[in-house]
Amino acid sequence: MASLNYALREINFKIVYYGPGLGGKTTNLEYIYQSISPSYKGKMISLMTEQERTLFFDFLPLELGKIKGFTTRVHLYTVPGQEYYEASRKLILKGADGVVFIVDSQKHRLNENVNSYNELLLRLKEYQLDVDTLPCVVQYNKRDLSDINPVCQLEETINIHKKPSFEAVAIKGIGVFATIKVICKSVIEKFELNV
Amino acid sequence: MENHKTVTFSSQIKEIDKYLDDFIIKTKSVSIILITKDGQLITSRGDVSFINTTALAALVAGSFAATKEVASLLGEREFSILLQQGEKRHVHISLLGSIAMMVVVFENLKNVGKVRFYAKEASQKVTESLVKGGKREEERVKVELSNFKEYATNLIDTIFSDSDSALIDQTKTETKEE
Repeated sequence: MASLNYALREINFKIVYYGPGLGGKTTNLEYIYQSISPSYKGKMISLMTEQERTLFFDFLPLELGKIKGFTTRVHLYTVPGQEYYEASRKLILKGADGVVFIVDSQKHRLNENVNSYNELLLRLKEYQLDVDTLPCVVQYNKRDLSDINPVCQLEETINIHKKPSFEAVAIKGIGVFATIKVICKSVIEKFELNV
Repeated sequence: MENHKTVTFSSQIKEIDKYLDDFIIKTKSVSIILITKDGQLITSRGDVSFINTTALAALVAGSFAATKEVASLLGEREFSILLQQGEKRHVHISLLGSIAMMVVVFENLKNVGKVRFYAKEASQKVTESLVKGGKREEERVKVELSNFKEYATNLIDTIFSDSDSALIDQTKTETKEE
């Protein structure tokens, strides 16, 4: 959840990248980390296995700078995608202000995408987060591969809540900034300062 | 509970900092960092010049959450204390109800008993202070939401300003060709 600290003059938001394993969640964060000016980013932390798969989470703090006297940060997290890390995903999702759901567009990954999205809905419900009002963006990744589902089919099958969606090739950075811009703006829009 | 935010007021922090300073004197600890259970920094005292507190807060929250699952597997609700022993520095982490976590960095391992004892005392005081809240009225900052949004939106556009959308069009074209 967003935290507003008057003593430190800080506002922090949390955005979680969710989706099936090897879908491109870490790649999104890595591209952001490599591409933005050093003054806007903190240290990126990746807890990986020996096979370079996300074990627990990736964490990248973005420093937006001072807004109305408050240092404003967006903390980006990814979850581990493999099915057996369900407990980790649940923990990381706690307190999220927004979610980016990364879809692997390849045809043979459709079921995994659907299962992951359903799991996300379940977790949100457990945290009493309303998917209709929670800022959420869907990214259709790996659009450069040959055996992929058409976007219209993915929209119908996965993006059932009609969230803003983007095509992407995260490894080349395509669609990565478009996605994060929209989720950041949605999260900030929802935030109310008049506490 | 739908996506609330946590708000910490200066009056609260002033009181909490007093307890934390007192703790550092009594235990001769290096530093003490108070974070939310979601991994956000609330306040810190002592020497934190060598610590990336943002990263530390995220990692500690993650590790504590994982430990909770371990506790659950063992039939416990949660473990309220974590002690991590290094060669030179050690970390004592304690849970403050369902609100926050207190991370103590200390160097002399012989002081671990003191740290544990006084951490319990400080935890109670800090928790009370966090629960009762701050003096909201005097702290209320008149910030126009629309202004905040406008500034933030401009910053986001500046930070992520590349020709991303043009590239998307290119991908669509390539996909169609295939």
